[in-house]
Formats: sequence, structure tokens, C-alpha cells
Amino acid sequence: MFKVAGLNYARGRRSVLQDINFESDAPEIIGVLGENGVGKTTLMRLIVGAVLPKKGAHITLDGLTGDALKSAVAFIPNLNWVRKRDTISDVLAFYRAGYPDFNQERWTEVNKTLRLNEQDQVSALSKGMLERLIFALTVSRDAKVFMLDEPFSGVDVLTRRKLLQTLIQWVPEDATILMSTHEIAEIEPVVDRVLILKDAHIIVDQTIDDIRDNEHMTLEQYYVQRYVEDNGGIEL
Amino acid sequence: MEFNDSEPLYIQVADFLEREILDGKYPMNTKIPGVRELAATLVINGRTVQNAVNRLVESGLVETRRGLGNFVTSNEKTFEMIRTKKIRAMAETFIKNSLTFVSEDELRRIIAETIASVQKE
Amino acid sequence: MTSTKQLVKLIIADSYRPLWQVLKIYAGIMVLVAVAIIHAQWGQSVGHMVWTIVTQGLIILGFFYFVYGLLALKQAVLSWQDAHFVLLPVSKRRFFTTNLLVRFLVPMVNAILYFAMLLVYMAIVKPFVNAKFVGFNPQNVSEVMPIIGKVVLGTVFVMIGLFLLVNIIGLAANLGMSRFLSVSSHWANVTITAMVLFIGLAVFSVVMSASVDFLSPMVGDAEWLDTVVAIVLYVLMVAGIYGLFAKFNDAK
Repeated sequence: MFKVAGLNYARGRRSVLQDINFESDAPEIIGVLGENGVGKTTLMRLIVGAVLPKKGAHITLDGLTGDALKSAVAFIPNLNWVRKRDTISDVLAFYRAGYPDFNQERWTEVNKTLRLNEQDQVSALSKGMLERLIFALTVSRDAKVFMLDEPFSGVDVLTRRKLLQTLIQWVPEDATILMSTHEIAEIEPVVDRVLILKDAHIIVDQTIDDIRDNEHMTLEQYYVQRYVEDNGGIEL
Repeated sequence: MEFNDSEPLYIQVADFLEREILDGKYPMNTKIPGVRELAATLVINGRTVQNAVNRLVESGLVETRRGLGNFVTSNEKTFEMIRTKKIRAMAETFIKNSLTFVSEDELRRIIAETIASVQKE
Repeated sequence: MTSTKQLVKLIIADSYRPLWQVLKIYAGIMVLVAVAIIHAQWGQSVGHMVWTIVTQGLIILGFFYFVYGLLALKQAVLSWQDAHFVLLPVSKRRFFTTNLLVRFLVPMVNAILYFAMLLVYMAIVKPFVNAKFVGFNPQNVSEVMPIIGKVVLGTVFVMIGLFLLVNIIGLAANLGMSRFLSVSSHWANVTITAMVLFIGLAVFSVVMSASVDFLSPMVGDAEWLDTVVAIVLYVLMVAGIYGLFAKFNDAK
């Protein structure tokens, strides 16, 4: 069981996330939705411990917290640290050395689909290839929580499909996956559940089946409706 | 695959798989791909595919053989029954919708004509 | 969890990155210098030319090592917020200790290496050019060695202080900027680099202008109270850096 409770975060005086609570029983794929700047990335950074929440937050994974929890979470916020001459195999070497749970076999398998050339320089990769690389490195760990922050930004439709297929095929069955994205229609059939963030809060935490059964709407229709409703009925 | 707006996804996936089986993509008594593989090909959540397969197992079209996987039924009667049920359901929906704006006679005539022209092709 | 051995390896690799860059530029410049010297001293003996090149090379190398030291210092300050290190499966305390030690030791080892090279150079100089060294009588190398030892020890002591000071100021400034001003990481990076360079240069020039008299009291001859005060101050700074890292960190 992965659980986030009482999570609050402020930057200066601006409250970025307020009273965030949710839990997940693996296996589960959770879509994290919301407009730009709503705090989706910050939520992931808080979960992995890259930034620290206000006091009173509890993030646990099967009873693990803090450093032990961090070890079971796979998340790569960026590859900004990579130098100009570094190749994909240099980056790979870092993750292989740094993470004992790095699964070389899975990397090889995933890479059959994603077709990254290990001799390529990372700085010369296109946006889409870079997302593929981050994606492949992330899912190649034997973690319990995987977090993908907008894996589809700047990625063409065929690659998006490939990434989703890879995700479905290669992620362990005891894992929770958090995936933020704006490609709502595309991820609807893939996710079990969505969290919709607005104005620092989670305004929706529902399974796709519930949304379809109870609201008789697609995820995208429901998303738009809830955002409009939350704005007091004013169209965006 | 494409989804319509309001129906739960697992029902739509079940319908899709049923159609593929009745089309002959997976003949009687053959194995259908594993849930994970199906999920990956269709780009659909594994749990949804599992629910869809369960639905087909409940209907009798698919049987789970322990340790071997899921197979299209080998029982001809069941298969035939499901096939007839499916075509009847499709016909029923079509006729109900049509009768809201054409008369019964007109509908019969149109069906006969359409069948004739389709056969010519 | 990542083993400490692996962690040390990764941090060392990261600390050496600016060194390779700096050495490459150095090698390039040395080629130019060598060409210039050969051109200027054309007609002189080969030995003389080689000698001049080695001498100039060592002086210029000193400058480049200094630049590397500053870059490594900047790298150290930024490492506390470097997500690809901070997110490694290592406990905070272990990462903190390892990072602090390795980030300090790698440039230190390089500096010692440089001084060792200077000593070798001097040992070679002794039989050849007795008169050329002003204020340094090669006959008394054995007497000079303890003084050099003291200078080195004193310098290391000052360097530890400088390293800790730059880290605590740098980290605090960086965290303050990202927390309260939401300054983009690029500008934070530029600012921090400039600041580290400034503080580094200032302190370094103070250290260099101070004589052996200034350094020697820090070891041996010093009032023990001064040493105690300095050590307490260092411990406080270490605790401060850990506090900032563990309580307020914002890894990018």
C-alpha cells in the first residue's frame, strides 16, 4: 500500500499543494492531471524527497518512510546534469552503478521497442528521444513506485503508443505508477484511476470505471466539466 | 481501438474481443493471447482487459484452462448460441432504431434490396 | 541502497569532471607556450629550452590548478541540490558525509600532487641552478622541509575552513533563492558561480598574501585556544550544512 497523507507545500507565501491525500494498492496506474503549473511535478518531487513538505506529512510505502521509501521510488526529474559529450551509455552507467535495483534485462527488453542508440550523445537527442531515454531508465528499475512526469511532451503519436505499450508490458505487477500528462484521451484506457489537481488541491480522485459508470462521460469530458464547475460555471 | 463515450471500457473491450473471435481471428479451441500481451497490443490497462476476458468467460465464449491460458470454447453449441445471440442483438438494435422513422413494409423492402445489391458486389 | 564504495566512485567521477576540462585547456595553452619559447630561444641548447618550458609549464599549471580548485568548489556547492545525486538510494547522513569528504579531498589531493611536483622540481633544480633562487638556499633543504610541512598543514587547515564556509554560504543562498524568490535555476547557478569565484578569490588572496608567520601559528606554535575556537567553528559549519541539506533541501 502506497499512501500520501496530509501533504502540504508552500513556496514563499504561495501555497503550491494543500492537504494532499491519496492511497494506492498495487498494481495501479494513476494519471495525474491538471493545468500547467498546478503542482504535478512538485507532487512527484515531494514524494521522492527532492523537496521537503511542511511538517505533518506522511508518505509511506508498505510501512517504509524517508530514505527507505526513496529507494523504492523510481523517478528521474531531468537529465540536466549530463555534459555535452556524454553518451547514453555514460548515463546508463551512472544509473547502473547508482541503483542496485537497476534491471539490465528490462533495459535491454524495453530498448528493443524504444530503440535508443547507446553511442548517441545525450545533448544531441531530440525532445522525443530524450523522453524515451528518461522513460526507459525509469521503468528499468525494480521499484515499487514509478513516477513519470509528462512522458509525452514533445513526443509523436506513434512513440506515445510505444511508451504506453512498454509501460503496460514491462512494469512489475506489484508497482504503483504515477503519470502526469495532458494527453487525457490517450491515457484514459491505460490508467486505472485519475487525480485531478486544481488550485493546490486534489479535486477528483476516481477510477475510470466510476467516471464512466456514474457520470456517463469520457475522462476528457469529465475533466473539462469539473474544471468549469470548480470555476463557478465560468468557461475557461 | 476506438471507444464510445459513456459505456464502461471493459464492456467495450469485451465486445471488441467477442467480435474478433466471431470474425474468426481466433478460431474455436485456439488460445487467445495472454492478458498482458492483449493489453499491450490494444494499449489498454491490464485490469480492464482482465475484466473483459472475465466477461467472455462468464458468457461461455472463452474458457480458462488451468496453467495453459484462455481458449476460445470448443463447445460448438455454446459458440453457435453466442453467435446467434450477437446477430440477434445487432438486428434488434438496428430494427428498433429504423422503425422510429420507417414503416415495417418499407424496412422489409429496403433490407431485401440492400441484401441483393450487397450480394451483387 | 547504493554501497558507499559506489557512491564514492560516482562523486569522484563528478569532482574530476572540471579537472579534465581544465587540463585539456592547459595542454592546448602549453603547446602554444612551448612553440613561443622554442621560437624565442632558437639557437640555444635543447636542454635550456626544455628547462624553460618545464619552468613556465609548472607556473601556468599552478594557475590552472587554482581554476580547477574553484570549479570543484562550485561543483561541491551545487552538488547538495543535484537531484541525480540526492535521489540516489542512500541515507541522507551517508550521502552528506561522503559527499562532503570526497568533494573536499579530490581537489586537495590534486593540490598536494601539484606541490609534490614543485618539490621534485626544486630537488632537480638544486644541483643545476644554485644561485637562481632568491631567498631559497638549496643547501638547507633539510631545514626548509619542516617549514614547508608547516605551511602545507596550515594551508590545509585554512582550506578546510574555506571549503566549509563557501559550502554553507552557497547552499544557504541557493536554497533561499529557490525557496523565496523562485529564481530560475539558471540564474541561481550563474549567481552562485560568481559568488563562489568572488569569495574564493578574496580568501585565496588573503591566504597567499599572508606570510608563513600567519600560517605557522595555526599549527604547533599557535595558542591552543585559537585552534580550539577554529575547530568548534568548523564543527558548527558542518552541522549547519547538514541542517540546511536535511531540513530545507530543494534538489533540482
